[in-house]
Amino acid sequence: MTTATIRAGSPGRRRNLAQYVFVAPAVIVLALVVAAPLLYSIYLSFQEYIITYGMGDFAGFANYLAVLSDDFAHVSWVTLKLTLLCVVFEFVIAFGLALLLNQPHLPGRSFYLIVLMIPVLMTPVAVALMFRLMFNPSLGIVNWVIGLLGIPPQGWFGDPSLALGTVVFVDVWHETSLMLLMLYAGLKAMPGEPVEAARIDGASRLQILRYVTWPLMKPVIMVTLMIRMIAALKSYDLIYMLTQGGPGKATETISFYAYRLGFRFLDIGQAAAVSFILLIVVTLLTLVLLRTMREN
Amino acid sequence: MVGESRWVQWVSHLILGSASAMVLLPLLWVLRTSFADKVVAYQMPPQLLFAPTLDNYRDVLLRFDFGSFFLNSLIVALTTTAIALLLGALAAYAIDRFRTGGPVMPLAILATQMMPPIVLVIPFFLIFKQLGLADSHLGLVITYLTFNLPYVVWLLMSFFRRVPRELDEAALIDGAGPFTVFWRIVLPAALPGIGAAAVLSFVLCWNEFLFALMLTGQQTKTLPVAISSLVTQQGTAIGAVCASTMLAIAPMVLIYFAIRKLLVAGLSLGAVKG
Amino acid sequence: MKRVKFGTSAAVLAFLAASPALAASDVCKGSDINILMETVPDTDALQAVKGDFEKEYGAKVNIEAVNYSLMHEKLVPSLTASTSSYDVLIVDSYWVGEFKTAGWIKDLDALIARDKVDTSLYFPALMALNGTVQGKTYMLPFWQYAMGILYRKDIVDDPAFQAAYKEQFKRDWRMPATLEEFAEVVKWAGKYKDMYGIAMAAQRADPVVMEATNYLFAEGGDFYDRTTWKPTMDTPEAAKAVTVYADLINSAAQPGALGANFDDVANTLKQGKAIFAISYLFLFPTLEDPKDSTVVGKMGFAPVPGKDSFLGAWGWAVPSNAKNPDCSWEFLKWVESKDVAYKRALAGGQPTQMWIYNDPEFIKKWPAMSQVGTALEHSKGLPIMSRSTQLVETFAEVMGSVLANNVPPATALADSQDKFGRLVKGDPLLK
Repeated sequence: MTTATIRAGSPGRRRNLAQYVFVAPAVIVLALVVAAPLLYSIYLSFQEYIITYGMGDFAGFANYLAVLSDDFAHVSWVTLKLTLLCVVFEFVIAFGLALLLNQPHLPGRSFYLIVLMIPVLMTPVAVALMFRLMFNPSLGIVNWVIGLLGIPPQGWFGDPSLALGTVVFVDVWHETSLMLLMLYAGLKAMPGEPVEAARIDGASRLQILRYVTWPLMKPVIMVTLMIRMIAALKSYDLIYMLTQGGPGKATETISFYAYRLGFRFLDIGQAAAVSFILLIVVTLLTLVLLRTMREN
Repeated sequence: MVGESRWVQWVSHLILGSASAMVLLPLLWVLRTSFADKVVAYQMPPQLLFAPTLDNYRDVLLRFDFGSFFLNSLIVALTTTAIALLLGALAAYAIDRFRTGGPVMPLAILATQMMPPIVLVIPFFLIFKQLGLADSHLGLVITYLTFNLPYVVWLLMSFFRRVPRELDEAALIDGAGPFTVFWRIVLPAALPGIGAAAVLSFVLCWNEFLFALMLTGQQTKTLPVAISSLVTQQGTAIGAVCASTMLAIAPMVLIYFAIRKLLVAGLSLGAVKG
Repeated sequence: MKRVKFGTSAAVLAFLAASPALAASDVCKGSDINILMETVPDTDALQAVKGDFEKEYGAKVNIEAVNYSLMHEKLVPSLTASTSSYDVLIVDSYWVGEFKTAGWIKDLDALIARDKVDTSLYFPALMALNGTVQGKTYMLPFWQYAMGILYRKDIVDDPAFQAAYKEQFKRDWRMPATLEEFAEVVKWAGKYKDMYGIAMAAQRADPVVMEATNYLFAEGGDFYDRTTWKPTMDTPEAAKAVTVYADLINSAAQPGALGANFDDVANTLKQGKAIFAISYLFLFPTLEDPKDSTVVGKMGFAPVPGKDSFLGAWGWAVPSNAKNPDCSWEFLKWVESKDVAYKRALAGGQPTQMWIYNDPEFIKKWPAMSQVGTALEHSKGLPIMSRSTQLVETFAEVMGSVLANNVPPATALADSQDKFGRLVKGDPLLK
């Protein structure tokens, strides 16, 4: 049965009207609150505007050229690495745990669920301060523990080659929970019959996962990955609290760069330009993600 | 067969146990630090037995007014989540079932989320100040609504998609109105999705920092902003940070235990219907 | 502000004497004074006495405390709005130029003259840094951030240590007089005591810049020639300063110093793991707190060796878009009045009025403070320019490429000349 055949009838008319009533509130809220600032900042990105000096002249693409010439490649590369590492690690761990938690008979499920959910209830600020305490190179517990295992103390956030990895670790610790929750809910809401049928047909666990669970889960997985990816690309608070983009520029991401331009340099024109570039990058990556998931 | 499933159980518990340990060990350290003064907190090698102090909790609860910050966060997060779920579920249902707005609609909704908050925050502040919404719960609720709605819509769409269409189309043909179909059939079938969306939305509000910083004042400050103010000019009050973290987590865990039965019922109901 | 012109009769004179209090209570009646502050030790003292102001002036004082590094973010949108959320500002010394150029803070000269506020009470260095811009007064200094060597007095005064020092350097113990000597002593002392010779904070932006600027000024270097505003980062002095800094990071500082901020420095000192640090004098109240520190009574303070040290400060100001600027000014006068300033100082604040440092009770409570006068004599702040926040970021980038990417100091500094040049281009403050 297709949508078109239904639309012709009289119940179709009712739902035809209803669908717009359903969508309208969400669209109106989004349009009113986000669209205006969004358009305004696109306008600003073509303007010479350093808050200190007040609004200047129309700048054409000068802001874009300025930010692109200034080690933008490096910043993008860091952003890409950070996002990929975080999303991939978090997804693999979260999906694995969700599958384990979704086994039919699992004593202690509630305990695991609640424990694994805790990190997400902590604000990033507190998470960052807590890990700065533990990863403190001379005063933290982590170096002491690895010292017991005979590993020399590490600089963690202060070591140019380790800083990014340490940030990824903290992000994975903090954000895996949310992904786990969404994927677990996805598994829970999965129709039971296909799995049952496959099991009766004698399919192995791996076969069920590959041929039944995975295809059924794909929409949820896709949305989960997308939500997480967009959030990761945009987030700057963890970087802000953990490393300030350092040492050197080892952990400087595009969003942190935009933050520095906007709030430290007060160069709103350039900050808007970077943000707009980021918007394009996020959109492209999302489209790529959607496409690969659909084809797969 | 029995042997295999026992083996699987062991491995499951091993993996889930280690993951839980990874979560709990740092938290235990936070718990310990919340009872320690700075001398103990940074002492290496660590002193395992020390005289615990309640100073941090006293500071956080009495001097720092943790209670009202917690309440602010809770009010904003719960209100936003309730509205986001209602608007989001309706929109997701329409978009998934009737393709309202065509293939562009989902992307358009999501596109509002792609702009980094850093450039939005100054215009937001200026507009809200003009409207008298700065330093109010309502202002923050409106802001968070716009952040959460797109995610909620997308997440719910993915859940609604898997509710078999035959269910609601049959009901429609039987003469039920679209809202009845949505409320009675589709929504219950996607209950785990609603739960996930609720938590997602709650958590995003609960943890949001930049807009909370800009749009709140002393009276409406949320927890993340309040906790960040414990990083003082005299250094980070790490004990107080840990104490407030513990105080923020504890009620959530208690609430979870209180409504666990309900949640489990909801989850299995969804599974059965699906 | 409307003021009645008075004649010269005795009755009017008597009335005149009473009028400031009268006028003051009038301008503030029913107002709110909102202040954004960071949590400093005297914030509590201010909280404790603000009731006096409220009673006397009929205004309500709301102090909102946030983390220092977030203040700028929070202030800027408020200052660009048509009316400010804040009625009194505290302004960091390196925002001064920016705030002045953007027109965010009020010129106070007329009010100072009218109410005969004595700005000569303040250290001249602080008035120059956080009081006047281009000859006009915009702020009353609120805090001084003098920096110097924080060191372990107990170790340095130990005869065995001094004997070993004599053995090593063939001279009697003395506090280092130059930066090179300081570096030598730090490296040796760390090895000798098997501790970190120095605790350093080289995290990006503020921490590394506040520390390294001391090294730069100590060598006699600077960011610009402060009359022609030509960048001077390619000078041998600058190269030497950065070289010494990098050498200490690599050979004498605690591990991971590249990720450390000044809180980490304080904690390293407090745990008794380091002998020296170049940091803020304001850390003393926490270094002397037995709940925070294992080195209570063991710390000393000495001026930075070499030519100059780096000075930071804060000032009280009235935002141009304040709702009730007259009342804001009354608050400024009250909070910097001798009585209130003294109470704040005793609570652990860093007073800016000179006379407090001659007060025996104050010095008895905070002995290290007796050094402030000396420290301020040879100190200077960042140049007051419109884009000094960007100056900080730019210098941090230079330090980052030296410390994290091992670019030779001279190369990194020479490469930065252009960027520093661009920062002052068209700056109305430097004409």
